[in-house]
Amino acid sequence: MIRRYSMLIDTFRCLSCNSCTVECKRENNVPFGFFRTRIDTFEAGKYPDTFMGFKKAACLHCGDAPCVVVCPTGASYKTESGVTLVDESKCIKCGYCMYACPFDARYWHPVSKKPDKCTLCIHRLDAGQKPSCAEKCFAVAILFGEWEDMVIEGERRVASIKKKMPEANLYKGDGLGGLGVMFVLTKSPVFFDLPERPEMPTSIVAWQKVIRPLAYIAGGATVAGLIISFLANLGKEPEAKI
Amino acid sequence: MKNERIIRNSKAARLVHWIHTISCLMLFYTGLAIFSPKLNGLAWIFGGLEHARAHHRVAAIVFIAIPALAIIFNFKGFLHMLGSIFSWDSDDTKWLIKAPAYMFKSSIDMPPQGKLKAVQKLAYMMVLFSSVVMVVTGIILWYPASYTPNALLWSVALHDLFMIITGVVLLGHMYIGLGIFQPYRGAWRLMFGDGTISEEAAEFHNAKWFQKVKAR
Repeated sequence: MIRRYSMLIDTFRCLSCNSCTVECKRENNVPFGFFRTRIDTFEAGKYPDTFMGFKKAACLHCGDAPCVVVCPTGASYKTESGVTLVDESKCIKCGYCMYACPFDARYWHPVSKKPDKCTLCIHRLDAGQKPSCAEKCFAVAILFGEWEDMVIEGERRVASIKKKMPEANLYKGDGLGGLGVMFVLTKSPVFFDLPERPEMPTSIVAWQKVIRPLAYIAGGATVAGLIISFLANLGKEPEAKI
Repeated sequence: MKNERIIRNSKAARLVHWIHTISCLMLFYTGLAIFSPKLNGLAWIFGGLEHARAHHRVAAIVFIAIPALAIIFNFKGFLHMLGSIFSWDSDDTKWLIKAPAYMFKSSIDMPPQGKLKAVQKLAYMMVLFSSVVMVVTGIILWYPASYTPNALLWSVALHDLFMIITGVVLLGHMYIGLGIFQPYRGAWRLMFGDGTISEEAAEFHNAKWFQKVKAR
C-alpha cells in the first residue's frame, strides 16, 4: 500500500518523444489544443557548444499546494495519498487556483470552462496501475512509486550523472511540503523555468494566515463590544428624543 | 417650538442611501459566501455559489453606479459632503477621546458637534478609502487577463482586508445609526424614515449644525 503516490521525472533520460503527452491525452480525453502534461524545451550555450533540455510539465502535486489553500470552495483538494484533484461540482470558476499555481499546471477546460489538470491518473491508481504517462515512457524517464523511494532513487540518479552534468540536482520543493512529482534536473531550476526554491507566495500567506483569521477576530471583537455597549445602556431613555 | 422637526437628510440623499444600503448588504452577504469554504452554505439563498457570485457583480455595479451618478448630478453636494467629512476641530478631538466611555456609559457630557460627529467623520473617511480599494481590486479581479498572477493574488488579499475594515465600520454604523444603541433610539428615521430630526435632538447631538440651520 502506497502512502504518498509520487513520481520522479528524469530530465537526463527524457528524449522529448512526447509519448507521455500523447498517452495522457488518449487516456484522459484531453481536448484538442490543451494538455494535462506537455514537454517544454529549453536551450543554452552557443554553437557549436549547445545544450537542450526537456521538462515534462504538469501538476507537481505539491504537499502543501497553493491551489488548494486559495480555493474558496474546497473544489481543489488533496487526497489522503497526496494527489491534488479538482471537484468540478464545487468549482465556481474564480480562477484563484490558476493564479496560485507556481508551475502553470492548470488550463481552462474549453467545455466545462473550469480549471483542469493532471490527476496522476487516479482512476488507474485505484485499479493498481501506474499513471499512463509513466506506463508508456520508453526512456524510463518517468518513475512511479512511494515518495520516500522516489527521493532515494532521485538522489541516486543525480549522483550518477554528476560527472557529466555538474549542475545536476534533485528538485523536490521542500518549501511546498515536498513535491509529489520530483525532477532529476540536469541544469539549474531556473534553466528549466522552475522557481529556484518553490514556496507559498507571500500574498497567499498574508491573505490566508493573517487577513482571513483577522476577519473572525475583528468581527467577533466588534460584535462583542457592541453587545456590551447595548447591555450597558439597556433601559436608558434618550436624553433628547430623536 | 421644541416639538418642531427639521430636515436632516434630503429625499435624494435618503434614496441614494437606501440603494447603497441594499447593494452594500448584498455585496457583504454574497462576498462572505465565498470568503471561506466554511461559509459556502450562505449561498443557498441565491441557489448556489455561482449565482451568489453573479449577484455579487450585479450589486457591485449598483454600488459603483449610484454614488457615481450622485456625484455627477450633484457635484456641489458631493464637495459639501467631503468638506464636512474632512473638517476637524478641537471639539472633535475632545469628543473622540470621550467617545469610548460614552459607548458604555451614555450619561456623560460631550463637546458640541457639527452635522457629523467625530467618529462619523473618521468612519466615513475609512469607508471612502476602503470603497476605492474594494472597487479597484474588484475590477482587477473581474478582468484578470492583463494582470500578473501575483498582482491578482494581492488583489484578493486586499479585497478581503478592506472588506474586514468596512465590515467593522458597518457594524458600528448600523448599531448607532439604527438606534440599537439605546440613547440614540429612533435614529433610523434620519435615513430610512422621513429624514427629519427633532429640534431638541438636533440641538443636543449636533449643536453647531443646529445653530447654523437656525441662523439661516
